[in-house]
Amino acid sequence: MVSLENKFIRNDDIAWRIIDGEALVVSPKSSLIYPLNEVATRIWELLDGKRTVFDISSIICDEFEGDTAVIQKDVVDFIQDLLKGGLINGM
Amino acid sequence: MECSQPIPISAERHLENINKKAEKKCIPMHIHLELTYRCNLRCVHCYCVEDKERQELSYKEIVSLLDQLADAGGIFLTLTGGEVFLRSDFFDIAFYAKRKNFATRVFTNGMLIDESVADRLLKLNPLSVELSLYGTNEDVHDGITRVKGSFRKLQQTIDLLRKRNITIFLKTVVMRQNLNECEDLFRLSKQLGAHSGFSFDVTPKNDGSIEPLKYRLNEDELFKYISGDIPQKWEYVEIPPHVEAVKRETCSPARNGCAISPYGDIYPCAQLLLPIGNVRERPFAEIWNSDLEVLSDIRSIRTFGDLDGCSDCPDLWLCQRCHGLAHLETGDIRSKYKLGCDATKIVKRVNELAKNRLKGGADGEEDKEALREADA
Repeated sequence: MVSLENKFIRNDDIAWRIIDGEALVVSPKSSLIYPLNEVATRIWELLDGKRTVFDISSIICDEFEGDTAVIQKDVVDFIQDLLKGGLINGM
Repeated sequence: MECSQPIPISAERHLENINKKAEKKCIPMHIHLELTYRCNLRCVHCYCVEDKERQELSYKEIVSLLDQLADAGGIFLTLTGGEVFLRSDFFDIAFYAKRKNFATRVFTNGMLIDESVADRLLKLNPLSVELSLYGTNEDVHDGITRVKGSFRKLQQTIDLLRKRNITIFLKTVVMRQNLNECEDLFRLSKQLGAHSGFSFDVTPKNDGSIEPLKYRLNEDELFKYISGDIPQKWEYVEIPPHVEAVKRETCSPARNGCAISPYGDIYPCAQLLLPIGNVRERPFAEIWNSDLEVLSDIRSIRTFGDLDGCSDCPDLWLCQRCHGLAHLETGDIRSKYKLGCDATKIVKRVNELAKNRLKGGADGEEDKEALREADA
């Protein structure tokens, strides 16, 4: 489960690059590519192990339009997906 | 907000969209980095020729190059040679690439992989380790590598990598000596849990020598290979009217990828040996974004309609054209070339046979009739 006070960091084994504003995330182990949209790319960049999920949600709220509660839930769900895919690790 | 559904790396249709975007914006996502032309095998068909007058890029130069490639949008990095493990700094380079978030593939002949190298490869976590395998027995394989014991060593290497669950590709250049091995090689790869890959392109050497060409499949052999079941049975392809067919896109060197030689020369792709600059003289981005005539010329080829020698060809829909091979054979990237045209004629014959099979005329007279029509 992902909660707002948790911190996560991108998995070292994952390859990624931001190409033209959108990240391509590659998992060599599963041979899967995850193309991220603009907002997801920004969250991916922010997953540096220093910020909490709450911090990340706040930055996304500041930088993109939308209802705060909805954005916060979306951020939590997205981070949950990344965790499930083995793309990030908890701190 | 949603993260897009993950795409298997092998799903070419989906990857195509990503590649197309990179192509349109000229982002070099795919980098083929040759670390050395030195090798411990002496494969009969090999195109690499070491230039003893020139220095290979040093570790420091490669680190700077990887930084530049990452900034330019490079993500899929093939580390290749020659034999990459002849470089004592191979793992320093590979782990630096990993720290720079590249997804790496390692091409090797497997001769220098022991327990400790295999452990380090596991830690590196590459997309795949790709090995050259030319036959299912030592007579054929060692006959092509011209090093006795290379087949045996390769078997040991495959075991070492399998034990560590590393993704393996076994790749075969199909030549006269091993044409009859294809089915067994395919089966062997499956048994070993490895992926297999086959190619019939035997090219002149980097220095222009045509010595390797004598190992190329001749017309009958090529027909046998293309009409065979390996890697898969040819499926009938419907040819659209010429006005549509001519809009078919060609491959796209110097748009979503490039190749770099051990001496720092940048090529539009691994097959197209027309240097567009050297990273020792200018930064990568400056070369890649320059208005060099040869670069704009290559990038201006988008469809078969852009190729004077090919745009009228009634068979272009089936053509397996490579601008690099055209350049090697004729000196002109836009020209038609013998290997390509010969292969296309054969593909046309095979396609007619497949069409006939669909009509229900499996092996009989209709097959022969279709062949005669295709030949005519």
